[in-house]
Amino acid sequence: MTRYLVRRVLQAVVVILIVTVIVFVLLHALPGGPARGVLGQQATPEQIAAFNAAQGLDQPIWVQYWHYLGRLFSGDLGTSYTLNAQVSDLLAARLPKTLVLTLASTLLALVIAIPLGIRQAARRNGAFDYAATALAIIVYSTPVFFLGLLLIMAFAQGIPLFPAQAPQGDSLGDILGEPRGLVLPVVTGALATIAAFSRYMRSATLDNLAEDYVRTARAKGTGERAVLLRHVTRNSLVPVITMLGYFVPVMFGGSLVVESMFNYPGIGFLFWNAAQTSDFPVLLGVVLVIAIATVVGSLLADVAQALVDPRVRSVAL
Amino acid sequence: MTNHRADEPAGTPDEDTTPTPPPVLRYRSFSVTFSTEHGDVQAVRDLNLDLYPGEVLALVGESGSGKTVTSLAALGLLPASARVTGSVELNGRNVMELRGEQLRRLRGDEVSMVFQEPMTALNPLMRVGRQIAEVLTNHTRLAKDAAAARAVELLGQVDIPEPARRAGQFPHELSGGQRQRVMIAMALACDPDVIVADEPTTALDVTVQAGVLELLRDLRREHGVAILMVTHNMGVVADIADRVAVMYRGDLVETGPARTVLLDPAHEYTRSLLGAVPVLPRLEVTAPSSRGAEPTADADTRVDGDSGAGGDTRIGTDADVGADAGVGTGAAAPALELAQVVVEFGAKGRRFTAVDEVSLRIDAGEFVGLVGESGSGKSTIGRCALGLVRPSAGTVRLFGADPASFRGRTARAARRRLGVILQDPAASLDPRMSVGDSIAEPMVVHRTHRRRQRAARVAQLLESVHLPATTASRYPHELSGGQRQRVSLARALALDPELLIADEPTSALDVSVQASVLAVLAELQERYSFGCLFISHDLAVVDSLTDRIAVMHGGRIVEHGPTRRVLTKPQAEYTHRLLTAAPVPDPVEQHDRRQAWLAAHRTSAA
Repeated sequence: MTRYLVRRVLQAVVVILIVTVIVFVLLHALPGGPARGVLGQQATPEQIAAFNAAQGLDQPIWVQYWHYLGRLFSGDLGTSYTLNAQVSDLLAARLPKTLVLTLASTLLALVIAIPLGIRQAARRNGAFDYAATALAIIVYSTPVFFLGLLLIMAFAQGIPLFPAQAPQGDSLGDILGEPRGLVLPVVTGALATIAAFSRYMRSATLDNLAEDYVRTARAKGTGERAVLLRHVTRNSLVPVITMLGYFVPVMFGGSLVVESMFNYPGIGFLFWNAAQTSDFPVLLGVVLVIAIATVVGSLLADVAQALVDPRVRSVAL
Repeated sequence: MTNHRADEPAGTPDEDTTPTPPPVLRYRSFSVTFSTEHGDVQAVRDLNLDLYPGEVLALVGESGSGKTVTSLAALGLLPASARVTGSVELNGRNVMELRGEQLRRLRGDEVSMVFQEPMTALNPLMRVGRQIAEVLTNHTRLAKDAAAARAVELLGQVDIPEPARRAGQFPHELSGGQRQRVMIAMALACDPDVIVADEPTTALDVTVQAGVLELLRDLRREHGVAILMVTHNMGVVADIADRVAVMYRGDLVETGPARTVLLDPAHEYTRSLLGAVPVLPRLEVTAPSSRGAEPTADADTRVDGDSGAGGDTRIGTDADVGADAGVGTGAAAPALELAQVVVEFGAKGRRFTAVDEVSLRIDAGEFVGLVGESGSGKSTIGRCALGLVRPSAGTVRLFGADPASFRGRTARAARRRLGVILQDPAASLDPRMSVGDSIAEPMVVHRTHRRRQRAARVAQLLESVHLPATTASRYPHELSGGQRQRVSLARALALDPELLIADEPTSALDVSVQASVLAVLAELQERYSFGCLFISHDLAVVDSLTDRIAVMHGGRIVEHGPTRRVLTKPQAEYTHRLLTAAPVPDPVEQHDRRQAWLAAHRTSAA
């Protein structure tokens, strides 16, 4: 198990290094290079040359990459000239807030989606299954911002239960101190995930219900409820866990919309604003963070899978 | 043909001499219909059958006979789409009328089941001890830890060594035979009146099968449980059954005492079924010989000794085979020659030797059988011959060159001379390619025939495997297993190969289908005189086809010689064990074989 873990972590490190190369190349592929990005369209060639010399941008590209890596390791992701702040500081302030939002909506989504999928599979092709399937397809095919608008209209304006804007504030405490404000963003973020994961869970459960071991369990005199809960659920979670690992970038995509919609001061909102002002250091800093989160997500999924499935464990040993 | 019943338990209701107890399981006018897209299919038609306490009733038939549906009905496990008429009475209650909780109480308690595939029949994520304990907690008031302790006891009862440790393991950590013993322990847990066993030994190796059958026999004797044994294997029937019921396409065509049905079948279908079973020649040695290589063995193995030259043994059990790499005799070059081949798998530290110093030679036009159980290394040898596996040591020569080093044009040329046929015809044919395209593919790849010629050749090949030429436009899923395997055969022969490598080509087929495929193979060999490496676990199948066989065990060839000699007078202890473990459909001979197996088993256990 530890050997497996070490191997997987090493693989993850390699992937992240490749991502840094891509990000680095993108930084340099900016029209006119970073100098133009910083100095603006009006800069003269002399100004650009001076900037390049000052920033070491006239050195061979692999030297620059080496320096870039070195800066990364010391936590220096560059400077946002539009916000006049270190990118690393911006990320450090925003990342926890986004994590809170995505974790909360993912947890909410799983708590609903897993039992829903199991129930649909257990009573497949019944009225409940058809209704849930139809609803899931509608929700899944509706853009997140539209879902959010509907929720705001219904629960912030129609029946004013929750505020239409997410809690503001610099610290995480400010945000957690106002849980009512979190409800609509979290629910909006969760809806699409519920739709997707109830589908995965339903089909994984259906696959497992057709397995021989289920027939064995019934032949032993195990009741249907115990067959589902004791035997099928755990087996069905195995593929769902893998999906969850790959779902990290999708969740970020969701938080991008949700955050900008509810004015939530997270990483997605930061990205949104940076995109509008062509703030490339911030954009690429966020890309790097998301890439790392994705790699870590699938790593965690693999570990979780090994914990659930002894066969994976023994192969991994 | 009238005695030899010495060890049958008393009270089996063959003849109505003693007053028989009422049957525990009774099918009356039992019919099952499934609705499909192509209309209704009647799986079982008006079946009347009784199972008496303490007897072993074998339910025999080929795929599609309705035997599995019949057996599942005893536990009320038919799929919801099944429409049932008639009744299945268990201890006087009609199982077909039970619902929900009533059915649950019955299953695993009064009647339990052992399934065919012990790997998939167990929950992969649950420790086996817990899976056994679950039966107990389902039906008794036993506390969790008491149930766990009882599960360990049960594992001991089904002869699993170190039961306490095994109970804490997951199914994938056990061998196939042990998994099936776990299933049996589960079936036994609540002391049921009836155990339904659906092909319980089909997925197992013969030597493992013999052990599992012995266990079932013991259970019947000690617990008096009645066993409804679904099987297609007439040898298994002869080994264990008191009575036999033969099903054919949903109809019960014959019932009777095992001896009568097997030795003097009344129904046409039973006769043809028995006729299709490849039969092993009678063993001439009944006790295991002390050692494999006696002096007589050497003389006997070298049957082809008329070629004189001592170095040219065609049989490669001994180290001297390495010497004939130069092919000193004037004989034609062998089609395939392996010398001292070693194949190892796995990374450092966890090396596994799949093939250990194997030498084997197949001459042009010669049929050689390679026999062994799962994990013996026989398929790896086939893969070496194909150049798919590179040996760690030793040499492989295919038509005089090393197949693993073939590149580009040489590889193409060598592959043209080679045909391959694999076990599962459904998996080895491209489902999206028409039969004609599949057969023509080698001709396309090797650019041997023009488009027109290809169509003619495909028709000719189909005809030679006894399929109508119209089959060419059909797709694999429209064909039966036997037809598909004939298509594989036609494809393998498309380029007139000099050597055919056949890896278990008939083991996925019903016996009667197997017989027809083997007949076609023999006929084609006669006509085209290709050589063949025939890999199989089934000694009887090999017997009907090959001139020479090599028996593999644990990566080594333990015995090698003319087929008849090896099968009737085995010299290696393992071959003997394998032969005695393989059940034959003659109950009288099977009784002798079982005794020989038991004797050998005890010796090896001691």
